[in-house]
Amino acid sequence: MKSTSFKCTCIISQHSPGHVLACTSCSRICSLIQFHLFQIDSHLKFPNTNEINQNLKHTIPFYLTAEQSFSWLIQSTLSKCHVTSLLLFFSKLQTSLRPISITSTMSFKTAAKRGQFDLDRYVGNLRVKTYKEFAKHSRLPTIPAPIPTLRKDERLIGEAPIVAGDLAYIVSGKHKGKISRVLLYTRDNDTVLLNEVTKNVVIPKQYWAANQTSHVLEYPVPIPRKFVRLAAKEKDEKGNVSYVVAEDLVFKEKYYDDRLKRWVPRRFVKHHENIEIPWPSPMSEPKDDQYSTLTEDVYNKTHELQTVAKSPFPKSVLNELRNPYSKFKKRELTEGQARRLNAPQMPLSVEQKIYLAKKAQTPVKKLEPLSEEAKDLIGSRMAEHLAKIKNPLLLKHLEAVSQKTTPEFQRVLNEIEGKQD
Amino acid sequence: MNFLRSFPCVPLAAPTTSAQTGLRTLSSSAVVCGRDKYFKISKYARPIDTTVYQAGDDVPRQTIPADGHKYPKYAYEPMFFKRQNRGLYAGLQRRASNLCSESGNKTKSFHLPNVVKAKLWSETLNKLVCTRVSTTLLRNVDREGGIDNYLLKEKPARVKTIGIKGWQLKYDILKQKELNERSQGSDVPIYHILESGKKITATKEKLLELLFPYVYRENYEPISQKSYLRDHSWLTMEELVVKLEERGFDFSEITV
Repeated sequence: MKSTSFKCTCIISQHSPGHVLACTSCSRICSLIQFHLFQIDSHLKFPNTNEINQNLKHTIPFYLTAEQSFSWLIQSTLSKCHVTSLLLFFSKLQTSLRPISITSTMSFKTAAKRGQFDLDRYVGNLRVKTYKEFAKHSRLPTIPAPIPTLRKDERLIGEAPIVAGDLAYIVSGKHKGKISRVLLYTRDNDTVLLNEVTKNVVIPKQYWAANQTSHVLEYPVPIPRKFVRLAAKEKDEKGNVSYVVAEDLVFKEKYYDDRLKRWVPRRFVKHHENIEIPWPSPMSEPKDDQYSTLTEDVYNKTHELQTVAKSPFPKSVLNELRNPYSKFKKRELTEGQARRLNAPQMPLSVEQKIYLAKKAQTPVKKLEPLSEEAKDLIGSRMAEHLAKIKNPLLLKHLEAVSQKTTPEFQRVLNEIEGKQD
Repeated sequence: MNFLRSFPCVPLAAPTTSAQTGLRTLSSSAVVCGRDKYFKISKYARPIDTTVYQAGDDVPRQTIPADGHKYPKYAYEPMFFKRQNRGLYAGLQRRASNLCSESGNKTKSFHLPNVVKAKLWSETLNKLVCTRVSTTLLRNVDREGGIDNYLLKEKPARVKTIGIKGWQLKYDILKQKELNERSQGSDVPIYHILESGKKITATKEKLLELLFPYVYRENYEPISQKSYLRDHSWLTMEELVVKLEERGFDFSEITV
């Protein structure tokens, strides 16, 4: 067991407009922090870098992984960087010291993962507490707390029963009995955001959206899916509106929905399978942006095979397409490889040589068919013996036994016959 | 046991008395004293791969050794007490027993063989072999009259108890014996005898070195020593000689 840790020393120098971060051992980690500092700098334009230097020590030794530093980076950029937050950033770095221990057989990647924060390792109330503690950094204090994400094995698999655009009937809580439109369904924590379940939230001016005019914003509150049921509007011939609320759903055969541009199953109310609840149209049409491929580009044929004589691909690409090192490919031994695999033989000792020489001199034993005399002798002896037996059952038994041949006997017989051929 | 040892050697060919007096047991016990204990080893040894690989066969799962196998494979390597691979232990391994209290509680206790460091003179190799040995081996070597005789004995029990270290020493000794026999009556060691009767005094390494300039010249592009050895180091002495003969090499300097 070999234990090593990566000690990074940050030095904040004053000579540049940004703050240059130098690292004694690990450039990768420091470059991230450097990036972070540059971000702060470009955003805020520190009037005086000495301000930082007075508060910070010139060198800050700390231990951290790249992921850790990155998460701190995100958090502190969210909470509007200024000098105090920067100080907070460094103080947090110092408090979250974590030496990375690497065993000799372990890769750095594996070792770095070992002590890392992973929410899936927490269960029950501890999971909720930890999640909330971490979520604090990513939102304003006025915004409603998110519901902890589910463990991977607890998450819903398959088609979501409720999607954005559906109507939902609230069955429990303060808003019980309301029918509202679903804004968003989140699979990670199995919650829905509803149109009518909102909370007034005060938003600082720096976080205002593009067309926001007030400090107060209606912010949807997440509700667990178990507190809502899927509802559908129904209009009869007279124009009366009624709602159908489905306690549970069944999915049936799939069809291609042109609005959603994908294959979806039809959904019916369980135990009332004549009532189909159609999928809602998407809330907003997808818009083209700078990264989207145009339809005409998709149908435009850009490559055509011109001749069989010339390969359509450059030769260097072929190895990438057909992996020559694939384990599924059968490979043959070369002469050199075969020779290397074969171990040398132990030389024969003097005694062994003598024994083999003697063995070579002795003639090989030949199997030959029995002579007539021998056959007569055996026959007469057997007849003598059989004449003595009076028990008919024993005679019957011997008769049966004589019909059987053992494989060894058969082999000898074959050998004799084969030699005669 | 000791009193049995003190008996004079009883001739085995005494069928009339052996049945009555139990002499046979006595005489065989005298043999037991020097018997190699190998029963455990043959039980716990893994079978070795005896396949003879040829060019064109499928590549096996095992890794191909970069420089090939130096020694023949040993079929009786036990799966535990691996330190015996590094010394001559005469098949002795760790033994276990139970210490049993009056109330019947059993405590496992282990007994290691009596191992000492020793320098044994090998007549054939003409050098001291410094290894860890069990004291049993020292007694056996004394009885056999030297480490060479001990290792070269061909009884199955001996083959099973000499261990990997002994097996490798045995190979070295036998190779040295072959060399000695070949170079009898010559001042220099003779590594190979040509069909014409001429004796080659150069080692395989030397022959490889001599072949290199020819191969280098034959290649269109210059080849490195490393790639040359990769393609030629596995050739046998005979094949190297043939290759040199084909290229009209003058053997006069390296033949006797």
